Amino acid sequence: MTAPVLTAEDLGKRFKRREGPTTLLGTFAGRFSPAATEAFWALRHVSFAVAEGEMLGVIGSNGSGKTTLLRCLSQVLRPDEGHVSAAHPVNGLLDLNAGMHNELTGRENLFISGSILGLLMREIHDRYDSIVDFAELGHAIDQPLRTYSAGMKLRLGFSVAIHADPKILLVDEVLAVGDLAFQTKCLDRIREMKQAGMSIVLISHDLGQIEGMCDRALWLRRGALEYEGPPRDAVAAYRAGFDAASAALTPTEAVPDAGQDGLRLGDNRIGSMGAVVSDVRLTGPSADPGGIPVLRPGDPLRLTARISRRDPALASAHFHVGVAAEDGTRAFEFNSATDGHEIVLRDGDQPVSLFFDRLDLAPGRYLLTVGLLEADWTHALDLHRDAYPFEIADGPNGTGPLSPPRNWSFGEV
Amino acid sequence: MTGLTPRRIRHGIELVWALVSRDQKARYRNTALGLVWALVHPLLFLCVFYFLFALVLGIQIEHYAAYVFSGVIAWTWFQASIAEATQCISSNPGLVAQPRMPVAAIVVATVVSNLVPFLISLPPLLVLMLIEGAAPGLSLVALPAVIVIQFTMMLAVCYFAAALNVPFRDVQQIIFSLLLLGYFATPIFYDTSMLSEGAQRLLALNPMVHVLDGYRAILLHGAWPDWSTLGIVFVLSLVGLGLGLTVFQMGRLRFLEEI
Repeated sequence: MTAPVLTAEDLGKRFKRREGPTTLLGTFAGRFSPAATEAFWALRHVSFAVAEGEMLGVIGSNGSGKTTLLRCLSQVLRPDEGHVSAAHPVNGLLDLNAGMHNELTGRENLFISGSILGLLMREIHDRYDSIVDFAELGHAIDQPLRTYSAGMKLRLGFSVAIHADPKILLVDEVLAVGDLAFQTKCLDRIREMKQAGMSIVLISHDLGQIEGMCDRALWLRRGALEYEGPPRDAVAAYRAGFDAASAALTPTEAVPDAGQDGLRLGDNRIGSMGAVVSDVRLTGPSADPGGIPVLRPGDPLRLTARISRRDPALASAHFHVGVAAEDGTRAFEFNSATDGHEIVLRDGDQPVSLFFDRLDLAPGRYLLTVGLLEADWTHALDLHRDAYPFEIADGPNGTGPLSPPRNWSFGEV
Repeated sequence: MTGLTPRRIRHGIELVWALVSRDQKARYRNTALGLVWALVHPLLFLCVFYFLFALVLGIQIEHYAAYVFSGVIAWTWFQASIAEATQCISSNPGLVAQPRMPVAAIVVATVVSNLVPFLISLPPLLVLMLIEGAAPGLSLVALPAVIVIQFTMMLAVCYFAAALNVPFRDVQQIIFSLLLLGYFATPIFYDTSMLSEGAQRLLALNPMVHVLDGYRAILLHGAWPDWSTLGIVFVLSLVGLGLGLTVFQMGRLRFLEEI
């Protein structure tokens, strides 16, 4: 790796948590009492360096200081301790539609957005065709922005942003939106620019993306740098921290029964129980004598469950689903948020159902994990780890958790 | 952040231009009358004031229609800019968070945007002047200078208002109240000579009084404005602008803590 292009040295940022709004009149009248404000460190003692062409991932629950870190790196927020130095202007892939106006056409917004990103009009003119081309907007570029779908707006914003020739790019969660084809195209483009020497700091809740794309990752917890190292290890440390936080919050007194044998509170059932998951059912086309669903290759699987809120202060949550082989190999995992759904918690029971058209897993026995996660990703509300077995029977054998449907032929095709 | 390179200056100017043209297009596109709407409000005010003060109360001011109209459009520029600038930072966190965005440009763009209706109102003002027989002369060349003075004075106020409204949530209310008060403390529909000497001295603290005097000397009487007074306003405005910009730039790296 070459010399660092972006360094943070002992960064610290303190915020004041206020009881109520600060008013000018109140300040003049001397009603401003220091007791009403409580300072806390949103970020402290954070140091790291990003090399040319390196991609650094940042993970952590909401409120862990990720956005504050990004703003200090962008130099739009002054740290109270330490400092940031950057060898090149820092660009952001942040609010992609900042400054755009719905009544204006795509073309007009393209110029405004380019200017906000630091480009000169001449430069925007030179790159115009390439921007429109990448955004795949065609004739829609002359239509008002209000006629655009969310995906089109995003494509326009993204396309302008990557044409700003960033040498250092800060990315905040924006890669998780838009349609899959464009997402892939964006990620490819980012890899390309990284090859050409661009350095990237990526904030994401998509742990798979952090593991798959980053060269290194940081885990921030309550404003402190908890781990720095290979992405796989950072993600593992983050997961372990998440489980530890959830286990520590797990109550010992009786909680509503989830209606599943083998769930033991504090062992494979952890979480604050602020909202609980119950009646988890897996339904396949058939079941073995013990009632465990058995799937043949290509068979569908239905998952149903009920959520009930116990702590009325909780407004929303994420539903987590994971599948691992009996030996612990993780086959896949995802959650309602990475799939683009928001779960609003209400009083009373709420049903959840998830339908897999097909699984295409290799034959064997699998264990399903389901859980409800706190909206800020700080801990689990109710996580049932490896609690729901199912079986894949009869498929062709092989190694690895996946077994795609296949046909051989040895004659002329 | 490095200093003012030619690129940054150019970018700042282009950004102001981009934001101003966005505001204009957003405001007037898709309205049947387009920019003519910018004239509707001042003309309505003119009708009301003319009816009330010239016809009902019989106020004695020369070229009263042109007098009121010039006052209304200059005041509208002032009031709309300051009201908008007060909120332009607090309501735009997305822009403030952009790494390469010179945030100070947003405030300039607000003041320039509101200059457009003022400029559009000048031709109708000319028509009123012709109807009423006002005789502008060579001193018309001084009109841009008075506009520049008003611009500088407003920009100074706007930087303070925009910066203070971020940490202090009541600044908006205070500004709106002051603007309402300022409306009556500015001779838009009356003349300061109608007031007592004490009141006149008090009103002389309001820079808009001198700016309006300047416009009216040029437009209605074909005279040169009172340069000594306007000079003081200009110098104080420049000092205020320097201070306002300093306060703004000092606050700039704290804005995101508060929004």
